[in-house]
Amino acid sequence: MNAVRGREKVSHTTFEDGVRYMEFTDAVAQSLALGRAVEVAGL
Amino acid sequence: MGFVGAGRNTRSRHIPGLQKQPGVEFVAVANRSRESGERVAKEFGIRRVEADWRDVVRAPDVDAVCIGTWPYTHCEMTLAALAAGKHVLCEARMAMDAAEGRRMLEASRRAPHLVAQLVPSPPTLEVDSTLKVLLAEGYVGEVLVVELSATRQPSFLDREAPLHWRQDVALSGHNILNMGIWYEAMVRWLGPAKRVSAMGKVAVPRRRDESGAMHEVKVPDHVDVLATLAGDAVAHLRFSAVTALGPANEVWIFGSDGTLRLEATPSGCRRPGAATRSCAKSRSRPSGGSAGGWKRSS
Repeated sequence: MNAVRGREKVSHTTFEDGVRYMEFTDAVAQSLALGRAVEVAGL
Repeated sequence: MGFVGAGRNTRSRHIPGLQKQPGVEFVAVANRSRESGERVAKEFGIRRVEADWRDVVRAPDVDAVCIGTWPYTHCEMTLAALAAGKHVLCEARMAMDAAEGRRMLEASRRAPHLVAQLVPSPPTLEVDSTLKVLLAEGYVGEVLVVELSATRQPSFLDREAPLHWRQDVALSGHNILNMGIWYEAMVRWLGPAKRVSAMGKVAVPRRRDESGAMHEVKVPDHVDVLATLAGDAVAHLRFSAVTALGPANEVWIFGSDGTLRLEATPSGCRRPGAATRSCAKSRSRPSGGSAGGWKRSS
């Protein structure tokens, strides 16, 4: 609510943070499918 | 506030938390059915029930939208809400996959005047700041190895249980168990992984949904991930829904000069003192335990 009212910034959890965990999630899914190690994409 | 989806987490956490904030009005809700929406509206004093979530998102008297639905809807709803000029609080897991997550991020960047927030990973909020400071100050020296185990299970495998939405790839996408939640927390202390290798196990390959229809289960019930982190530390991350009688959820951070151990309880991590330097060199137990900028409503 403070962020909505312009009093502070969001500390947890930003969409950037979310994309980081989704990239990790994608990499794990890809590794499971391919049976090998894969790189985790950055932001 | 408008609510799209009012499942357990929304009813038990978000709405009660928002009720404690001054000046917040609950304007509209759309749930899986009008009937369930009406029950939620009656319980929490939400003024209006909509049959279509789009009517919540578009409503001129709604400033912010809380999206509490399953992951397959998060991207579409978030994009619609931001396009309608609404602030967004979206439930974790962020999206079905990274591509959707990036579309959401891009939309939020096109609307920097709007707040776009995800529900935070909760289990370590009370100790995140302490861990981050200890690691930055070199408490363990160089981080070499990380062991994260989120495998605490209260019961053994139930082969007859109906398909849960978290087991349904059509509803959950690439998300697996509580992996994203723990990874989000770990990134706060250690930064992101660079490379991963994973092996998984689907314990019950076919399950019926609540209507009786049979589905092939593709989301693993157990996954082991080996990852390299910044500085080439090696992490072993284990997530499971089938390890009954296993140990409590915990994280070990092994460094060149010390070890940090974090033990999680079902309601979160222990408060100050959860992270201890208990082996190798003897030093005082770390104090602290601030929530790292996160404020719980109380």
